[in-house]
Amino acid sequence: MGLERYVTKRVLQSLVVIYAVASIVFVAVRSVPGDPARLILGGSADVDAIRAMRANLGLDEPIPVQYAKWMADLAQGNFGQSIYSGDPVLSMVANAAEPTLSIGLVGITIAVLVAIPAGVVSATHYNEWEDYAATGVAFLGISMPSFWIGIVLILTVGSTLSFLPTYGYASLKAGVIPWFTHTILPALAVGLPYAGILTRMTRSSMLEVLGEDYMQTARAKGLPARTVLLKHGLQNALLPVVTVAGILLALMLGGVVAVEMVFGVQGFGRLLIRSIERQDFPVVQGSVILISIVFVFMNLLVDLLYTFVNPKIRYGGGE
Amino acid sequence: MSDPLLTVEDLAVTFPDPDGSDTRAVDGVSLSVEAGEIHGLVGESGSGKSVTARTVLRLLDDADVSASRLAYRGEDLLAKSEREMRAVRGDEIGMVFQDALSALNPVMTVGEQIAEVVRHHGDVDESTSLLSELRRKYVTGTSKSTASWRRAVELLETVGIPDPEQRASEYPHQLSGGQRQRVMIAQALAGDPSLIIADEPTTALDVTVEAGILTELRELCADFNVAILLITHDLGVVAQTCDHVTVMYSGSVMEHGPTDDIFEAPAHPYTEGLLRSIPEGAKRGDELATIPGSAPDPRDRPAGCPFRDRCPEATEACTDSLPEHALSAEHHTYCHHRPHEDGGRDDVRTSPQPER
Repeated sequence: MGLERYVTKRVLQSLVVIYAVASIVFVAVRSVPGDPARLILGGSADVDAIRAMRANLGLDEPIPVQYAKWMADLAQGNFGQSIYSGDPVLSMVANAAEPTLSIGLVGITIAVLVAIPAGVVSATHYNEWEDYAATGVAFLGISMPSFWIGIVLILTVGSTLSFLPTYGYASLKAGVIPWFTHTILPALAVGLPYAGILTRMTRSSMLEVLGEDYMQTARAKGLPARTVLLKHGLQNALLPVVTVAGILLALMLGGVVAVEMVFGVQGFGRLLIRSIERQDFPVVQGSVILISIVFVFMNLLVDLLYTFVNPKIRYGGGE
Repeated sequence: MSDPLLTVEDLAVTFPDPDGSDTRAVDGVSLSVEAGEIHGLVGESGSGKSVTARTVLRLLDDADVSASRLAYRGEDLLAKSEREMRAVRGDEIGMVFQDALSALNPVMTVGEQIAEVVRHHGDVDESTSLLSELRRKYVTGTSKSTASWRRAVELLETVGIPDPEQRASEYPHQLSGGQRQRVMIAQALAGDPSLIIADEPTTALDVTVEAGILTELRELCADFNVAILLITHDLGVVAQTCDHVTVMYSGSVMEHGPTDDIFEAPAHPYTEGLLRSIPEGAKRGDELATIPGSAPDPRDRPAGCPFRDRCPEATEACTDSLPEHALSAEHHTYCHHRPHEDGGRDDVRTSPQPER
């Protein structure tokens, strides 16, 4: 069915996108007023020291030369070093990405696990108390920004359930349980608004599906009501939800950045903001490239997921 | 004569409206389907024929249904619980819907859609619990080595689908319109029913494909001894296919009887009008015969004969009742003026007689 060809084509297209992003970021960080050498050495440093530092960092060369060198390094997988700590950018980003991805993925999982059943119950109990309850909670979730939910969670859940830490992050390497207890609250903060939107989407989509002819056919075949609902209805109801879920995923990662601040997590958002403040060019560039890689592949993943959910879509051939 | 397979007596179906103007979709319909026959239920759009059919399977949850008798093989369908009805649906009575593209599930292979009926109603030893059905759908896919799948492929072959093994793994959108309708028929047959209700099975199809489907239905009726309640608005379809006909108008039965009798000697003015409006032998430019006026609003249906406002023979008597007259043991009509008081039926002979 040409799926491999399609994936190859999409990956090659993604490389072009990532290259473009890299170039834009390169120009953007250098367009920001200020000088990292002066920031490192402080306001009182003399001109010669600053010049030496600039040469040391490779910032005295013409922009096109810097660009060519950087690209050549990048092509070999070398993202460079932080101009402050000298640490390799790749390991800095990887360390910071773990908490961010943990919070994001646990948040999505919670959101999906809550939203789909809630949406289905809401639709099957249309205009009954179950529907009103699910709708009320969903709107509450949609209306509150993630960082606010985070603060509320710290003040309520965090202060009553003492085994749930409200600050910092524990790596998976330290064990699953500490990892989970540190991740769950920020993940809830990120996931609830997402769950709210998905619940409403699932509900309206399911309501539409319940009126479809094939649902009546399934009933006329003598299938039990739940089989009709979940076997015949659910997948059809999720078709539009998957599309929206993919778009929302990207938006949600933006929410993680603010939530990291609330929970004092040394995550990706914090790394990026600190590097921008310090004009740590290699780190900013490396981080943005990695974000764009994540986004591009999330999109590809959602598109591929869609082919499994909707048999009418066949990439790279057929209709 | 033994009990008919399906008996409907004095069926009324009302859709309640919170604003107070309830829709009385079916009003006093009676019909009976004998085992192994093809029974046509004819009427124009909105005459209540589809509602009647769905009511037999109790598929309309929001309708108020009453009947002096609604029985299948002598068992009262209205007294059955939802669970008991599930043993009737698909198992005793199969259903073929009008537009197969929307009536088949777009995200399920046609083979699975047939196989699940076999599993639920057929003689195979495969689990039909919710969990195993969901596992089949979302995790493992349908196993091609099960008895139910093999039966599904067989059924596809029975209804005349070429290359059935390949087709069984395809989705509805990959099949042609005629093939999809054949899948609907295979699905209705899968539970080995004694009655198939076919709701306008050929309306969405080309004329050539339609002929193929009708032939298929006639053959199935003979080969499997299954009765068919064929709902249609097309008298041509009735003439080609049915043994008996019930003519409905605006929620009520106007006339019923053997197809030959009704085509040769229609008794009700409405049936006459219908037959006259078949464009048989009309030349280009000829004005086609129509019945002037339109059907009454089902929310505000007059008492008496619903056809009286459009009927050339209507009199005062038509406003208060709809009497039944037997023209023969099987041929009945509901009209004050039939048979004619003078006993003559001359004018009736002038209506066109479609070829059979």
